[in-house]
This record gives sequence, structure tokens and C-alpha cells, in this order.
Amino acid sequence: MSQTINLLPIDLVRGKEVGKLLSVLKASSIFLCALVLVVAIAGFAFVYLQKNDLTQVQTRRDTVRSEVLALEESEKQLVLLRDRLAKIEKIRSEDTSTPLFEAQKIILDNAPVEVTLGESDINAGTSSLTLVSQSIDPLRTLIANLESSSYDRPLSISTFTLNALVGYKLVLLVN
Amino acid sequence: MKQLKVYRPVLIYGFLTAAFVMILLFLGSYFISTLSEINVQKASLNQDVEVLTSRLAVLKDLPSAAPNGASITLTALPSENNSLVAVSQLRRIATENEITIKSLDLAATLATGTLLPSVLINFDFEGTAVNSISFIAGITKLAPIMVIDTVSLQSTADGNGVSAIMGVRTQWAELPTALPAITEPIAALSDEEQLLLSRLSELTQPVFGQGVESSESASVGKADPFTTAQ
Repeated sequence: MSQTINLLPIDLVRGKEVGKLLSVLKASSIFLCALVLVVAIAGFAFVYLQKNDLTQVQTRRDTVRSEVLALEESEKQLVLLRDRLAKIEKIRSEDTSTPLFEAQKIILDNAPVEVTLGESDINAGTSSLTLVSQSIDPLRTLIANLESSSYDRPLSISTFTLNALVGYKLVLLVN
Repeated sequence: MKQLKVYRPVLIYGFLTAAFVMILLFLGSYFISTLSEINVQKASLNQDVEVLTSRLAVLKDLPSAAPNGASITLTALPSENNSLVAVSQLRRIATENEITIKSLDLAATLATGTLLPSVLINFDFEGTAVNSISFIAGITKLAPIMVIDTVSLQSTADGNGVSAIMGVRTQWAELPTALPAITEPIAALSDEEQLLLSRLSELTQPVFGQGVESSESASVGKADPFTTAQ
């Protein structure tokens, strides 16, 4: 029968629990050491790759930027063009007289030759058109023509008179 | 002392374990902060690349999308008082329509608020009814653009023609002075802008050179009005 003999002094003998703790600490420190090495190597490698990637994106940005700067003249043209177009659009949207004139022109284009222009007034967004005809039929034809045309603006008859000298006089309010 | 000797390896390995944990935490936080910083920079750079690429495409496409666009619009809406060109244009189409302009005067209006500076051209003319209508219609198709202010048209006593008093307004606007920052996106011309540009290109252009401001004249012969925002 073999016997375990402890030659250490009794006060230097570790308890069982302390021995267990020591072996756990030893194992964990070795494991953690390995983990630190792996994390450090992998981490630095990943950071290196990401920085490389960043440099590539930066280079691409600089290349495109220099190409854009080379086209500065085109950009000036575009800014100028867009500025003018916006202002022209504003001028046109505030123009109330031209649409009224165009409406009057459509009416005149639809008028038979017997209908003559008496007066036309366009001012501050309102307009009136006076048409004269020796007989009533051409005026009827005008109204019929307008009904079948693409004319779509408000139109009202202001006065309709008969004068022995000039014939029928039709005053239209074109809005 | 003897107890310390017994527990020394425990202390050493305990310390090592704690140290490795600390190192791991430090490395973890370092990598996380470094990588997130790189990612932020990369996202910002990628956004810049995206904006710059679209800007480049728009600028490369401009000559084909709007050939002479700046020149056409600058003739339609000049940068300086161009009323003499407007008068010349009026006289030109008056002649074409056999209209006699009897008197003509100009009155300038300064820019106020959002209103552009303008010149009101008042004139009297005579002609046949058909020619007068054609003349007025022609005015709306002239460059520089002219807006009808007032029209008062009356048939003459003999009934053969009309006499008219008319006011048209021609405007101008200063050139833009700033370019957008290079990192700001710019859009290509919209369909509405293209349509307006195509209508402007159909306007009757002035025939003589001094009133026509080309796009080049905005930067050549004058100080370049643009400043670039970086």
C-alpha cells in the first residue's frame, strides 16, 4: 500500500478549495491571454482593412470631385439657366393681360368675316371686346363656333345693341 | 508571511486574469470606437461620392439637355436694361405686320420687393384689324420677353383700320452670384423647365448683336458674377 506523504510544512499546505481556485485562475488567465492575442490581431487586421477601404472611398471622392470642379463652367450655365427660367416663369404667372389677349384672339379667329372688330380693351386683368356686324346671323355663327371650339375662359355679354348706322354691336366681357 | 507564500500564485494568476480582462475591455472599446469612427467617415464619404456622381451626371448631360440654354434664357430675360432691344424688336414686327407706330415713350420702374426692375413702353399704332391682332400676338413671341400691360384698340372712323394705344413691359434681372456648395445635390432640368426652355427657344430673337447677351458674356468680358460655396 502506497501512502501519500506531504513533506511540506503544514502551514504551507494549500487547502483543497484554494488549489481549485488556483487551477481555475491558471486556466482562465491562459485562456484570456490567448483571447487577448486573437482579439488584438483580428481587431487590428480589421481596422487596417477598414482604413484601407476608407482611403479608397476617399480617393474615389477626390477623383469625382475634381471631375465636378472641371465642369464648373457647365455648373454656372445650369445655375444661370435655372435662375432665368424661375424668373421668367414668375413673370409669366403674374401676366394677366396676355391670356386675355389670347382669349380675345380666339374669339376673333372664330368670327365670320362679316363680324368686324369695334373696340378692344385690356387693362389690369379685365378685358372687353366689341364686335360689330350688319346682320345678326354672323354673331350667331360666332357663338356657335365658340361653343364648338376649345375656348374655355369665362365670357359674358355686356351689351347687345342695334344701331341703324353700324348695325349690331356686341360687347363681350372676356375674363 | 508563510500564508502569503501559499497564496502568492493565487494572487498572481488572479491579477493576470484581471489584467487580461481589462486589456480585453480596453481593446474592445478601442476597436468599437475606431471602427464606428471609420464607419461614420465612410458613410459621409459615400454620401459625398453619391452626390458628386449625380452632380457629375447632370453637368455632363447639360450640353445635350439644354444646348445654348443659358444664352436663350439670357436673351429672353437680360441681366441689364434691354429696352432699346425691345423697342427695336417692336419696330421690327410692326414693319413685318405693316403697322405704323406713331409715338413711343419709355418709363423705367425700379425693383421693389420681389418685383423685377422694368421699363414700360407705351406706344400708339395704326393698322388693319387683322394686322394689329397679328402684331400684338407677335409681341408675345419676342425676345426679350414683353408682358402686355394695357391695350386699348379702336376701329377708325372709316372702319378700314384700327388705332391703338398699348403698353408693354420689359423686365430684366441681375445674374445669380453664388454657386451651390460642391457637396449639395443638384437636380437635372425638370420636364416643366425643359418645356419652358423649348418655348423660349422659339421666341423671335433680336437680329443685331449689341443687345444679345450670350451665356459667355456673363463670364467673358465682365467680371465672373459667381462665387463658389465650398
